[in-house]
Amino acid sequence: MTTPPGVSAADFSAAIGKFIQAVGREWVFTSDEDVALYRDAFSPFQGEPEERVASAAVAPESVGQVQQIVRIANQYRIPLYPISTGRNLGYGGSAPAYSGSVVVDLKRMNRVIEVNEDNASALVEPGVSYFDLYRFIQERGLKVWVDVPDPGWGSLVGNALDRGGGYTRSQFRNHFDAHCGLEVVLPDGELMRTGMGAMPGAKTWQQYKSGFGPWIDGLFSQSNFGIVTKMGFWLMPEPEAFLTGTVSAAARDDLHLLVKMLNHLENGGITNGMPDLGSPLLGIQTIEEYARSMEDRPQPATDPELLALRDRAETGNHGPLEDYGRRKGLAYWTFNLKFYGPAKAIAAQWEYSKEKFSGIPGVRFAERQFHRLPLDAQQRQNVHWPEFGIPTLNMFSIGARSGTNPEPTHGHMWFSPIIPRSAEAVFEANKVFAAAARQFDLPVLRFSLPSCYWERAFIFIFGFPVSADIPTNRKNRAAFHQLIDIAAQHGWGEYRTAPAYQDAVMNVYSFNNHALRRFHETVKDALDPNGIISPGRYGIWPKHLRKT
Amino acid sequence: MISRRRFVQHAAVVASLAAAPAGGLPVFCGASAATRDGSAVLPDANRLKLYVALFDRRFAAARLFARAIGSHAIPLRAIDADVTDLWFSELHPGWKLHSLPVAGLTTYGPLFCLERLAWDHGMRVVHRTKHLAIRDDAIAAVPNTRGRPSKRAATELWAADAAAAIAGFPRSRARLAAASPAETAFAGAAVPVSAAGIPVAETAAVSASVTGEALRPGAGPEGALLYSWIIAPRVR
Repeated sequence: MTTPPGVSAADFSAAIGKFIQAVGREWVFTSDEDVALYRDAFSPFQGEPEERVASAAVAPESVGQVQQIVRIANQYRIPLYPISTGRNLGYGGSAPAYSGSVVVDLKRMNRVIEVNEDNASALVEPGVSYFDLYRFIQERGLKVWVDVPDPGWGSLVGNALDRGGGYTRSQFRNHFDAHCGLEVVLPDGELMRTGMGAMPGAKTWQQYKSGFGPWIDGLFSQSNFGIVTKMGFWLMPEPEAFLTGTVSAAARDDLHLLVKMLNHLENGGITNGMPDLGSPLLGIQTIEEYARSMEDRPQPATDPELLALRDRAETGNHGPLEDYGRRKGLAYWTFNLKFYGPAKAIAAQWEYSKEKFSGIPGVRFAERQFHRLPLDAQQRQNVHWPEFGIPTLNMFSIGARSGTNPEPTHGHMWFSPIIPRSAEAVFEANKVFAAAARQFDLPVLRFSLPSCYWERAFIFIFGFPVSADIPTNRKNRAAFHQLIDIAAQHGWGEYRTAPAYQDAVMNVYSFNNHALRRFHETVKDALDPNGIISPGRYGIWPKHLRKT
Repeated sequence: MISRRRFVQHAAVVASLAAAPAGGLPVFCGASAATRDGSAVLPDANRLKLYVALFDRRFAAARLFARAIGSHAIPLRAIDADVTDLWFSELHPGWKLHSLPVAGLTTYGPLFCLERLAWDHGMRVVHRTKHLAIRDDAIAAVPNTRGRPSKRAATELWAADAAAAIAGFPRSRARLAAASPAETAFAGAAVPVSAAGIPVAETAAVSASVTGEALRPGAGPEGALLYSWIIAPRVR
């Protein structure tokens, strides 16, 4: 059994004994076999001593047990690493940020405490997965949707606290923004509720977010200031209908007006689903396209002329590719606009949207999908389930090893910079990241389009492969660090990252001599003087582990 | 480095190339009393009682496996690559009530998901064997020449063996198994491939650490890696 750094074997053994008293022997895991389950399946340190691993795990089933665990950890200075379900693969999984931590596995705290259909809200514990809440809703026939990430096997609380995102209406896609009220076990074992929950007997905990006084909920996301044991969410009332309208444009430079109009429509609430960008000429599929059945999905281009013209476009010569597109009826850009709402209303919103885009020469429009909701079984076959609030594991079924994919990776790490919502930024980021890929000998990065999970900003999400080969992983980690710095030099910062890179990302949020990090550290020292909760998570280290 | 959308897009294309038409599944009834090599068969009481066996019906090899395992009177469930529906409608509700042993012959994705989901219910992968499958038409098109078994015949023999290994899995071994989750994501581990290109069982035991030579180009573009596996309650 590994012992946490700086903790004597006797103290660790005593702490484990007290954990057992608190939660029962069955729910304290110390064997290598059991602790191995908490390894990060996508760790970039596979086979290296730097891999961050747990020393043990403890699985409480109640808030009271969480409080006991925290108090025991304070007594023996045991670092804890709470996880909800630990399935945020690509961003660290269930492995601790600080090796030797005891994982506090909250999966047994999996109660859906309330779903209020009239208020379209829910209150859940951290072990509730998207599947669990979806099942709860379906079994009761409630007319509300939960916005799910893809894949949807993780925890609502965990994903929201990591500031993950989904695919439905804009005000629900940002999962932390969609929350309403927290219950938190603080590092000294105290129990606190935020928002209206701070008032005993309040009837509006999941109705009014900010309560009274400083609104501190954000302190508990991407942080280590407490263990969230309950979290409220606003849900999406099931809409009457869904419509996808496609806007297609023929010229590379049309991207400027397309993005400008998209922003206008989205910021004004005219298009309220997640915009979905693609490029038939460049071979970039939209979400709507890859969600189609195998038979209906666009196949990879094989025309040698098109492939050659794509290569020329990568070097800046776009005219011939545009001409090819006009000859063959292939658009340079396709923007799928998504609309949720009453059928008549979304039809009018689509008509208005077409008017706004009509100034682009040669622009074309197509109504791609219209569904009255809820979907029937046939309709479900050809849609991207998360856009309809349906969790799925499908993503895991499409990357299997085969003759055409003989070397699938052992996993991936997401490099996820936020960039401005403009065509200029898209072009510049592509240029910068392609140059970086060449510089660091990474797989060739062809032109990419960003995603629109959040309003107001684009996000690029690049997958760095995790390999079984240690030198390759070392090279990729070094490149990842370089990309963080290169992005920062252009004003682009990551929205989230795996523990391996959290210090590096926090380091580029450095305005005024790292005033933000120093503020985090001040809060950390005040709330958690023993530094027991998730040391190092999101670059926040307790005083005794802080590098000077 | 690849963008998330291209990552998903590429993977989807790979899946479409591997897809084969789903066919009907004749299920044989009546238990086979002996293994193909004539080795002793465990009494029923000593075998791990399986709740269901999954198979990915896109693959001819998996359909043959299903037919073979059906002959052991094990209930079957077909999936088309994705395990979501089966997990949601049957396995998850079942696992919440009981630790039900489940087996399968699938690609790595469903196994990867089910293994991790099973951990929450006190279960582990206790048997994991890799196989290389080829497409229906490739199996069906190869004639039986020079006295050697055709690829289809060889595949049927393989299917019988793979099914027997599942159906006859000793309950006592499930209790002792301590499978380490050494394999990580999308079937990244390498696998030896037979020169004949027929499905080949690489190991017959729990694979705690998977290494080996890379999939050879000679395996052909249709080659897809399948896993036969058992998930069963872990006895601490």
